[in-house]
Amino acid sequence: MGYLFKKIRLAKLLNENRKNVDLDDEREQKLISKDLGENIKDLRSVIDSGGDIVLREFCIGNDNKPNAAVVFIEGLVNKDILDASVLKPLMFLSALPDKSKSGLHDIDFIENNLLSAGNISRFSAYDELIDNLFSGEIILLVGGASEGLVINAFDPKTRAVEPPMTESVVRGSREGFTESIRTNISLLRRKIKNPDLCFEKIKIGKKSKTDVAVAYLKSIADPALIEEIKKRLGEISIDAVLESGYIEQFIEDAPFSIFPTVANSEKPDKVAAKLLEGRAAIFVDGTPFVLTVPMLFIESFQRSEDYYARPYYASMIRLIRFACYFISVLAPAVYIALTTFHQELIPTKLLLTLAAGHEQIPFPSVIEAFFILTVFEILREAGITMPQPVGSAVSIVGALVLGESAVTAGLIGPFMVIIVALTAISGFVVTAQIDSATVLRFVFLILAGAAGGFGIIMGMLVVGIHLASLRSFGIPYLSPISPFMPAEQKDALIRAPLRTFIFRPTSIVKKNITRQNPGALRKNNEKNPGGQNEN
Amino acid sequence: MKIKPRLLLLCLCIAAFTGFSGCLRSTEISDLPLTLGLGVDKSDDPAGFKIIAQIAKPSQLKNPASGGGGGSSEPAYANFESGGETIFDAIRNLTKMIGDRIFASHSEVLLFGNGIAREGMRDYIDFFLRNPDVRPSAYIIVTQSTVKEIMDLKPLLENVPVTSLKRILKTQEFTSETAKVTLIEFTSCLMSKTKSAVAPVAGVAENGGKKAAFISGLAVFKNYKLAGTFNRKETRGLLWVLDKIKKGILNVPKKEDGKKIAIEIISSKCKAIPEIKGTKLRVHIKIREQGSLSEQPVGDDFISLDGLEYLKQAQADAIKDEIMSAFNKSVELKTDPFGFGELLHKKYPKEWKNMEQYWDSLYPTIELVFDIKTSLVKTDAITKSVSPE
Repeated sequence: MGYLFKKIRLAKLLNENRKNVDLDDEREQKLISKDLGENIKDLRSVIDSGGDIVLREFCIGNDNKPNAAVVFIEGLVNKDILDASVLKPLMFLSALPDKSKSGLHDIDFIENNLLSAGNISRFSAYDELIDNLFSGEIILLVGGASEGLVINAFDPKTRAVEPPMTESVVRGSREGFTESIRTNISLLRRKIKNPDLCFEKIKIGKKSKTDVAVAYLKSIADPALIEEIKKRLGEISIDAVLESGYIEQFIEDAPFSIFPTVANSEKPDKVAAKLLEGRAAIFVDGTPFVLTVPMLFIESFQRSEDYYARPYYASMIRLIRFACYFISVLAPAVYIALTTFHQELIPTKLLLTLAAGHEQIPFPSVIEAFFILTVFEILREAGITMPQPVGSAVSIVGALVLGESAVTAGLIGPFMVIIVALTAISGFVVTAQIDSATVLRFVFLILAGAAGGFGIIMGMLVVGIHLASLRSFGIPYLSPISPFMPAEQKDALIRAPLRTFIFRPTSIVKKNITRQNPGALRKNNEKNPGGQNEN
Repeated sequence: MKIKPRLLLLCLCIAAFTGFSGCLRSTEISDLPLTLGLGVDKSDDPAGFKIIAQIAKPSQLKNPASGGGGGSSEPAYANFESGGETIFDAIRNLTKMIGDRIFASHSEVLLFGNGIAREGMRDYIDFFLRNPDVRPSAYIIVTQSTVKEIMDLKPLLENVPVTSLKRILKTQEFTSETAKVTLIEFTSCLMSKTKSAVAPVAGVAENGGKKAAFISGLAVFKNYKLAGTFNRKETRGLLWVLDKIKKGILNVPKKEDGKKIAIEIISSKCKAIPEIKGTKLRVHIKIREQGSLSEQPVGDDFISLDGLEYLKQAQADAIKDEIMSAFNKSVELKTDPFGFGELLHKKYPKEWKNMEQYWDSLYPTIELVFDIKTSLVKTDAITKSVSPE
């Protein structure tokens, strides 16, 4: 009964809210006036509320009364453009005697003959004025004109392009995305110099008006995928988007799954590679993390360096990465299952060593494991949050004081420390799945503590079924392993030589699948057989 | 409203899973009495037997160096003896002394006393086969005297007596003078009407003033009862026919003065094929052996056609001699450890039906026909022996 009441109350609340939202949307389309003074009067309320907005009235031509005004936000616009390309021509050049007097107040004349800025557009609605003003453009209002001009001079303070924090590489580009969407787009453009690469920009967030751009390669990406992305982006009606994580959580296929179905990257070369495989990227202003969709599970195990290194080592390291994921999820659980349920499976000598190590420990192994895993998570969290110098102190205290002395004091066994250390380090190898691995680690630990190997198998079944049921923008999450695609195994568990990658992954790309022309390569080989020998 | 029953179901599932699975035995390893070996021997009890369990003390195993080589340090094991009306009763009676049920999954060795073996294993083997904890791959050992003597004897190198026995068994292939016999192999012989089960024999020998356990030779059973033991030569003869020879030393005499030449067996293949010819029983024994010249009297030169030919022949003679002595001994003990009966049963199922009941009298009449081909494939590090030029 109480549940029902709650539901009714919630519905009421939502209804009221919807009214508010509607009011917000249904503001009448107000046009700007021909009278400059009236426009400025309208603007006053906006200007007064924000101390960073500058309104400058001035004269075009030889008039004595100000007949034009620029409005801009200090710190967002490029002062050079403002001074040299907007104010100077309007104030000085317009006053030269040979200028036709008749055209001075003509907005066409101003746009075509006077302003020397690169990117100029027009507007007539008041809302457009506000939007452009807060996007960091220069607004030019001219008395007597029913349209205003927007001069693109957006130049906010941005961080320089630096190596990415999360995806360091030994070999390969060290550029990382920054917080500025324009820089990010230009970084990607430098990787793919082709009109095929297009960006579709929209603004999301009623209050934040965050710039979001969907990037894809027109000839490769599936149009249905792009439509779906745009549809899902259009459905977002949040007030502010502060990071791409906001977008991710609104467009992902399985919001309640522990597995991510949207990938992110800080590296332009990685994003370019994903676009070339038919994916789409979503740039969000204000964050260096660019989203790419659809995401496959195996993407978590692929790194850009896999493709830059030669295939043997790359394949080996990729297999190790898969092993690491299993270790990071299952190692404590398997250890608990073996030592508390299936002692007969441990080799005798190892069993004796393990028994000796656990002899004086007062807690059951499950509690012990739970304890150290939690301590590890605490240390990790503290290490991340602390400033760098303090962070290292935290790790020293954690590793030495807690680990070492807990073992000497006989609170925890040395083997458990080894297992947890291995688990933790393995978890860091597969960065894209750290979240899922950490959650699963605890789930499997409980299962193993309750029912041993049986519990682990049950858990694996559930997780396996769940993984197989997941989809990311229509693509099965486990492809190309399930459904099995023989041709794509070249870039799944192992990484085959690049020259064998003749086609793009067909699980994502539906058209234009040829990546390289194998005939050309063969011809090349025949021409100089000595130089291009394979094997 | 829709989500509620599903949530309830999930909670129920989790509760059921964690609750009902509690019946699985969950024990910390440090609490388990890790039993490394089990022994059965005669006792003065009315039931006539006792159980000896050797239980590891892991903390003593941890720092073998700190004890400092001498016998002063605590042993890494403890032996517990107990009796009962049945084996299982006796094993459960151990609980009163130990404080928990013994954990027998790591009992790698099962020892049976001489007295028990003579009396017959019939009453004692069932528990070990039936109990799910005891491994079918545990090794069976019969002791020359009492089990207690062997299990109490602290090994000179290892920490635990039964672990040391297992190690000796594992390395028997370098001599091939005894055999590893697992519980399941032993039982499969007991299930045959004619084939005799065998088990390695453990004894105690003096070693520089200290006692040390050794394993050599085989105990041969007839109908669950110990019939007798094979010495090392007879054991080797049996193992040739059973095709279980891996390595070992053949000492062959020199023609002129009978000085011994050591030839190490590198590989051996044997096939025994029975044949009924009229009223006569024959077993063809086909052996292909390779050896290496590993030691010889100084000064002699065998690296010639004649010399090699002689060594080949001498190897074949030695093998034949070993097999014949094993066969003669088995006739003497009225047993069939070779399993010739089983071979005949497989090849001549019809005739076997008539032969089976007379097998004990037919067995001594078997004629062994040898087809032994040997070769000398290497002479190890040097070819000719050293001699002054």
